[in-house]
Amino acid sequence: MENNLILPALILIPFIAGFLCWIVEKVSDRLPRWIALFGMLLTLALSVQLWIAGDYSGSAAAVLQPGTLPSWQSEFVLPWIPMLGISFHLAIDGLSLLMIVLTALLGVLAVGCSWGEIKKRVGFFHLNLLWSLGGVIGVFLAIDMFLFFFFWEMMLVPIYFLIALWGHSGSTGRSRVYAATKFFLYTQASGLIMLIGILTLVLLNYTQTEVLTFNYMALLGTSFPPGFEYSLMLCFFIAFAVKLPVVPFHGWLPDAHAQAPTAGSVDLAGILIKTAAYGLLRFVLPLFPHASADFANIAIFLGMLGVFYGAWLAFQQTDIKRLLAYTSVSHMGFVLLAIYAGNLLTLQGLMIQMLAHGLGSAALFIMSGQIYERLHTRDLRLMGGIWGQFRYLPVFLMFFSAALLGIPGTGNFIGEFVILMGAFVDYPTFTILATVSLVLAGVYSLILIYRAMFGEPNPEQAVLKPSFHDLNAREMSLLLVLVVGLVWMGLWPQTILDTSNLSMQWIGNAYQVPLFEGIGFEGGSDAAVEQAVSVQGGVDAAMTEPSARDMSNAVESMPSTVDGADLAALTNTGMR
Amino acid sequence: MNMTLSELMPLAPVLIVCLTTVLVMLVVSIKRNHATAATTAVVGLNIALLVAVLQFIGLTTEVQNQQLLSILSVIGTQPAFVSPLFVVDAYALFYMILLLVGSLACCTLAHAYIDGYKNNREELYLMLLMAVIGALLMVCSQNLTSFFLSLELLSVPTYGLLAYTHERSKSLESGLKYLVLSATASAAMLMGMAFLYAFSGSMQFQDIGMAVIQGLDNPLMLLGMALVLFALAFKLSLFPFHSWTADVYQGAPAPIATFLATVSKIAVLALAIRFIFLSGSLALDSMHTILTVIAVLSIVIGNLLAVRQVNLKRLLAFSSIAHLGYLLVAILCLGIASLPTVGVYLIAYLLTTIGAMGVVALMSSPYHEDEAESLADYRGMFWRRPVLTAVLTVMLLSLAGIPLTAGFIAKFMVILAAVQNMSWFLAAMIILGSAIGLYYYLRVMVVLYMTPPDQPRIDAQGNWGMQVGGVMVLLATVLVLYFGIFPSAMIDWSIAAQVYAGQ
Repeated sequence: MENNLILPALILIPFIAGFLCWIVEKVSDRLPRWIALFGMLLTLALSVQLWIAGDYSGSAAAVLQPGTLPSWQSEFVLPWIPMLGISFHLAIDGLSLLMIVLTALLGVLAVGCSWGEIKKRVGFFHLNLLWSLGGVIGVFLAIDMFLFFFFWEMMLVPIYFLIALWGHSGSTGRSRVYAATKFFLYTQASGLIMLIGILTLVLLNYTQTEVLTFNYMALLGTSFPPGFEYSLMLCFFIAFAVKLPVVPFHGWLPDAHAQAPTAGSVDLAGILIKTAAYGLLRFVLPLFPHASADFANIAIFLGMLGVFYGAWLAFQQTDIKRLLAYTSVSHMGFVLLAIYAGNLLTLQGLMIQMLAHGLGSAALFIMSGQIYERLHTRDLRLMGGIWGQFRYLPVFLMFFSAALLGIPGTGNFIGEFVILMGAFVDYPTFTILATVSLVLAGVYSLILIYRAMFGEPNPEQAVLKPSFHDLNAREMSLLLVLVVGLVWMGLWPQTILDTSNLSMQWIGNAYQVPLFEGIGFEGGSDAAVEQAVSVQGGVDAAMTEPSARDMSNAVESMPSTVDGADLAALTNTGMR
Repeated sequence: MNMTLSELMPLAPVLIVCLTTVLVMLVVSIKRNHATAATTAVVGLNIALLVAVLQFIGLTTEVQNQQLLSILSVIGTQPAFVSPLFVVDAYALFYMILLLVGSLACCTLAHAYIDGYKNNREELYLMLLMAVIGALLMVCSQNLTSFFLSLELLSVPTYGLLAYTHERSKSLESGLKYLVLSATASAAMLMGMAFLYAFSGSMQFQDIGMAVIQGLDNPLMLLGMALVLFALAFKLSLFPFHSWTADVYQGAPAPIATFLATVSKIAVLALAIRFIFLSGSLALDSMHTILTVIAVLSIVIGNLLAVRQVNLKRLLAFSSIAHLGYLLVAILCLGIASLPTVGVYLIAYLLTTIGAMGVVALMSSPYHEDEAESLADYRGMFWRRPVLTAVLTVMLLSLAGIPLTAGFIAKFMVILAAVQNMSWFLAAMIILGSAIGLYYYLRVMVVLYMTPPDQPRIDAQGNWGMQVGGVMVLLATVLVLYFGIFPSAMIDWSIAAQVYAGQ
């Protein structure tokens, strides 16, 4: 496949634009904003161009053959450190494309929402913002394990600066530097654990194939000495669990969210924690299918713990940004359920859920920034009565809170619904539990609306009253973009499902079938073919492998692309 | 024994530095002039560097160009023994290049630093050059005699350098402290060498190695080996021999602290590695255990001690303890195969330390009782000196091992070594150390960007970027970033730097 120059451009444009922002800071305070906006718009345009030009359909049956590699839309390869088998290898498929579009879109919005909020050191702020976005795009594109790790660690530094230099002091008197340092330490230390996992994997592969390579495709199907697969999987899982965050590792998240500037929160909640879900999908499931399957119960249990714990803590919070932070913890529990249930339905639901959560949480963080600009507080107890004092702001807040609780008509609803439907076959108990938690989502969303908008206006706010002004055109257009996005996903998710279908099908197969059983080694390979064949025929899968049966039915009912009717067919198989 | 000039030719870089030393002495005695003395020293070091680079090329690559080939044939294209004392192989030349680069950096920094000094300024270069001769000979040594002599040739001028700005009481204190402790270590080392000689009957590293393999648990040999290793650990400031480091770094004039941190440590480490491998001490279980304990404790304690520091020079001193601990991990894990890792790590360490200490030197002057070392002095530096701050930030990120910098590649190689050997415990220690390390590097970094005080107490000179020291620091930054993004060259050179153990 020839090198597609758009891929490196997606990474380079934010970096170059960010650098320019810093350079021109001396000239004017406004110029960096325009450069940043232009840079992110260009990135968005390029990613949309990739979406339109690419062909993301394709035969779903083809990905059932053992040893099938992911179907990349385009790639970019340059040799980098040849003696260690490291290359600068980028590739894009439906999954990474959608994540990049989300990143670029939220990047534009993050620049937009900082327009009025950030007044000091504007150039340096945008340097950090854009570099973090560039790093995240790199994470989504990198397909060489070393490169992936490179971007994974690199994106932390700018975010550290965003929180440490432009953040707010915490409500409990903790400094923003504390929050930033905590964030950095958690993620960096866990990242190094992943590095050990990566290196062990590469060296294991080297002992088997005599080729030292960090290439993802070459590492698929590495066979493991006893015990190794599980420990390596844990190395990866810990890094992603910290970033997601999964409950025992979530300590950094509320502080970092609450104390970051609005753009930083948008960055963190909207995009950054999705890198972890992406990592689990792209690397953990396909590289360690057996260990992941063994681990699934524990992971889903942790996810459920997160769902309830996050929801409960969110309900308890008085700081609006902390509340939102804990709702993220709660939602990420769903993500774990979806990932480890791992069939096509849950994975497709996950795609919608991730995008919708990205847009929805970004919107709520932007709105809490806007409320803060007007009321000078993030404490829900000091708000109250917003409904009567503004014309447009409460409406948007109402809408996004409703989206947060997953009301039909928004993308969140579709995501949660499809995930629950898909997961029920394999994990009925957990799925029922997760369904119960939706009630809790209602509780925290409603308490947010109730406390912020209704009741008597706080008398202390009266002094600020003259400075109240409703949303201006810039703020309104930011929010409108997000509304359109959420409603679009709620009413017509098919476009997105079509795009991610093939990638998700492959990931599901690599996890459930698995596709790489003993590929390239003696022994095992016959068994794998047999297994795959039997799955395709759906012969003896009736009782023993319900999820594999799902898959085969799904494949049969999907000629090339899924359209509305097929989604219904899919649903039926899932429910049966 | 009669020696001809051609037999000495492989040591050409050392000879050139010797000549330069004499020349500087003559120049100073004819007419005291700071600029002339400094220029002579720098030109001499540059020529030596050029020759060393040519020799390295001649040794490690196939040269096609006839003209170049004829030049190379004069200065040597084969690894060569110069008397039983020295060997000039690719390994030695690689470290000579590093040492010469380091000393050039120290010279340029010293020039900016010492320019405002009212007493005699020229002798600084004289002592610096002599110390460099010692360092260059160390990396070629393969005999206990040359080992000791060259080590002392490095150490003795260093005492003088440390106490050079003796108007500052701290500088004097640092020189004296180093003298007393270093002399003790040297005495222990001599004792150890005596034991080794008594046991093996030879001064050659390789002969000792042969004897070690035959008589594994001889107490005399174990004691001798341990004493030598401890003395080396002292020079490298590894735990538990680290206590001098912070005080000496803090008191020393900033360029000399840089010299101590880079040239002195790299030379000792290069010698230590040659000694450890040729004498086969890693084959001894007890030595392996001792070194493992030293490595782990250096990483943990060095990092922990740095956490509470509010003095940048002390902080860098403690962090260097931890960095040498990481290096030791690589050596322990891979044995002789760790040479490329060590090479990469030292390139990164050299450039990073030059950059970080260079910024301190540029911000300091010899007449404050305290140099610019308290973190408070650096508060809000970004808003006054954005480029210099960017340099320091890059260096701190590199020390912390964050991608885009050479330090990341170095840390990556070390973790690779630990994983390759399946030393999970050591790998875990590196992670622990990095996490603690990150904490204090971040603390420094964020201070640089905070709101500045109204009246900065200390500041760099307005035109720092125009001076040689400034240019050198900027160059180090560019190289740290370059090697962070394109590390291939760095790795190639390190792989080429093979130890030559004779036919």
